[in-house]
Amino acid sequence: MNEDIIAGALESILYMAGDAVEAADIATALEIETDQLDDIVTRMMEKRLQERSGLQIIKVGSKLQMCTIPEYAPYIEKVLAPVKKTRLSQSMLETLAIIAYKQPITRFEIEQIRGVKSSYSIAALLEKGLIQRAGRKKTLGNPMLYVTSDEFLRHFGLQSLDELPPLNLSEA
Amino acid sequence: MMEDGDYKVRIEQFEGPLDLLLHLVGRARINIEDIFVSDVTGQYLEYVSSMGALSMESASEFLEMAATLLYIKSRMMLPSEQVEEEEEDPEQELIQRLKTYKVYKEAAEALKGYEARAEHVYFKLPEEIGFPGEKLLLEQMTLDGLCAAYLEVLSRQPDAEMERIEEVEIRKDTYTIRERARYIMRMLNQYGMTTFSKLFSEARSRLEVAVTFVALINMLHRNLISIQQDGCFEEIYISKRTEEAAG
Repeated sequence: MNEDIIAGALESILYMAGDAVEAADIATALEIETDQLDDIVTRMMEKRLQERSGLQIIKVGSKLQMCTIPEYAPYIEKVLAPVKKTRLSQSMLETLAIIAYKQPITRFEIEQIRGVKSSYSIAALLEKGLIQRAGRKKTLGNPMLYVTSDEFLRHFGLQSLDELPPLNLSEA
Repeated sequence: MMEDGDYKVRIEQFEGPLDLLLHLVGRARINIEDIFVSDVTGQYLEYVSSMGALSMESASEFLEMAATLLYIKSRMMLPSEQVEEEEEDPEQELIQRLKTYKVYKEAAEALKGYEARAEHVYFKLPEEIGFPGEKLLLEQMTLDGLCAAYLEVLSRQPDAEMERIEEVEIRKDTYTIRERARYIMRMLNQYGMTTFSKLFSEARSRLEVAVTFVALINMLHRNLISIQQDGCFEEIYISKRTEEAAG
């Protein structure tokens, strides 16, 4: 298979799925290495950008997903009037930030940092699918541990947790 | 102390006591480390005491912090030797908590920017992929073959439509099992026996054949007749069952 065919196959798979698809699964199906697929995605994206394509392929953790390019959002909104995504409240943002940088983390540990009860924020974040439960901490009371989800990465336009804005630890 | 005319913040604006303290530190333009040598804690206490009705939960959080601040203040008034006996240093602990909280509050702020940017990216809803579990495979099948098969069916029954219409209109209900059974009995009474081919040779329609056949089977089942055949494709003889044979 040459690169153009791989690119075409990848596009068709991602278009059909709509949802994020494991890069490793696609690589296996196309009989190539995941690294190779990675390179192809990078080159495809450069090409798409040059051609002013309306679609892009993004990484969501270990998965790949097709989505629109932000600069075309006004046109999409004119024609389709999609439901506006709601932004998170301050308390949800704070709770989520702590979980993102310190995951896996318990509710008690979150509340220690914020100085306020956070069960409402945690429940709301769980409901939005931005965080998920990840087992229990082996400590007194076996409290639930929380981690961020793929939806978290998408919501903030991150490819992986490595892309989180660096913490300003100089003062701490 | 709250001399600023525009200083009209409401407690609901703050995420909690740490947030309020950070706000006061920022307003006083001091470093977090200098919080206890400033008037910030005093402002905090004043602020909390002036706050209106709050839910029990958030009020208790603000009050707990007020208690901590008062405790720290009281310690500072004690002779220093006594203070150093204690292992924990609530001042440093609070300063550390404020710094940690500030780090994540800023991170949340940074994430807000990411959120606003990512807001303009649209995703397609996950597809319900409708590949059927089993596919009907039509191998070696062409449209020509299908046409030929249809034509063959038609050629076999050229007037089927006409015949059926006639039967429906004229001969429906002409043949009943009972009437055919009586006919067979008449034949047997008259000739003693009859043959399968003779029984059907005079049939005028398929319907008559079918009804006569059913009548025959019915009579056989009721032990009224017996049949005999010498070999495959030989003539089938039908005779009336005698009383002795029936017994």
